[in-house]
Amino acid sequence: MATVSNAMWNLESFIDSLVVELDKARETLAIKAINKPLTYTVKDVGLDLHLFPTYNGDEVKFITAQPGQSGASRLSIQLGSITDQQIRQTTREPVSKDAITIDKIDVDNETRKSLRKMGVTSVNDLEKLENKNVDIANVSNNKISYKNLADIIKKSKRHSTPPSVGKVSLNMSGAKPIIIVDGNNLHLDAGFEPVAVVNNKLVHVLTSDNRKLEIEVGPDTLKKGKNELVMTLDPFAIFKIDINQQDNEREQRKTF
Amino acid sequence: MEIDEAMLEMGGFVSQMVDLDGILFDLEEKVLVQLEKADLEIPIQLEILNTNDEGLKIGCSPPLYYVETTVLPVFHQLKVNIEITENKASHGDSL
Repeated sequence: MATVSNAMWNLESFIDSLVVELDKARETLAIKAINKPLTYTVKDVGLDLHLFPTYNGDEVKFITAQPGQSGASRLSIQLGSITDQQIRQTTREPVSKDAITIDKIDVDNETRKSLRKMGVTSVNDLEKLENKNVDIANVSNNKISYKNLADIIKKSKRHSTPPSVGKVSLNMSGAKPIIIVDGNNLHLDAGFEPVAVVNNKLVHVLTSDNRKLEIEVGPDTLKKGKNELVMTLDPFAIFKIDINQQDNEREQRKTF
Repeated sequence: MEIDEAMLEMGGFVSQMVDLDGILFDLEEKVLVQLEKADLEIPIQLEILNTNDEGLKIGCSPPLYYVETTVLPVFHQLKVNIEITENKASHGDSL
């Protein structure tokens, strides 16, 4: 008799492996069909398995019954044929490369599991639910709320588009000096106005966008030598830049 | 870890089951019969290996021994429905 190395498995990995194997069978048949006038295709496959399920409080796993073991459960799996059109109708779009999956956001495991149980795999899914006014707190037994997740999601989004400062220059031609900060992904949150502080004094941010910030400072705010500029672009992007007015050297530090 | 040599991986097993000529020809009676559809239901022995890298490996075979013993192997059941396909360029929509 064949030696059977029995191992615990979960249903998802079993179905995955089964589908891979049936795909292989289909490929083999497709090659044979090139030279044979008559071929057969597998319309559907069913499996009745004798096994023992176990539940460890987290997931259900199965182990196939061994010779001599009685009382095994029977699991029936039926795999039918499916057309490409049916796949498109019943399958969600694959997660895109720039989408933020729930694995990437900083939430505890229980919240992540609750989200997954609800079929939420990315932040986009969550936003769709919010737009449709789904009471997610009720569905998840008050484990999840949009309010709690909103900041985490914003933080994750900010991490995927981190700000960077390329150049800081000082324009002295107007009545008041203007600090011009050039960079990338500087001001992305339309609901938050950037705040700037120079040498512990609040200064006025004239304009701000993705690539540039113009900060008006009082004539007495800047001093010769080292000046400290702190910019809060949004709650998750705070810059501290040391500007040396004499030789325009600057040192840049970034905190999230 | 490999599947037991007495077994085949599920994909190979299913494709061998479906590898039929499908035509029965009687020269004397001059009768030709073509198989249109077949529903197979057979007991199988399974070996499921959990390889961390490649996921699960599923090996299967028909019953390897037919001698009745005190402790018999566990026989699972495999059902496969196959249908004839015309040999056109567009094949392979089904499993």
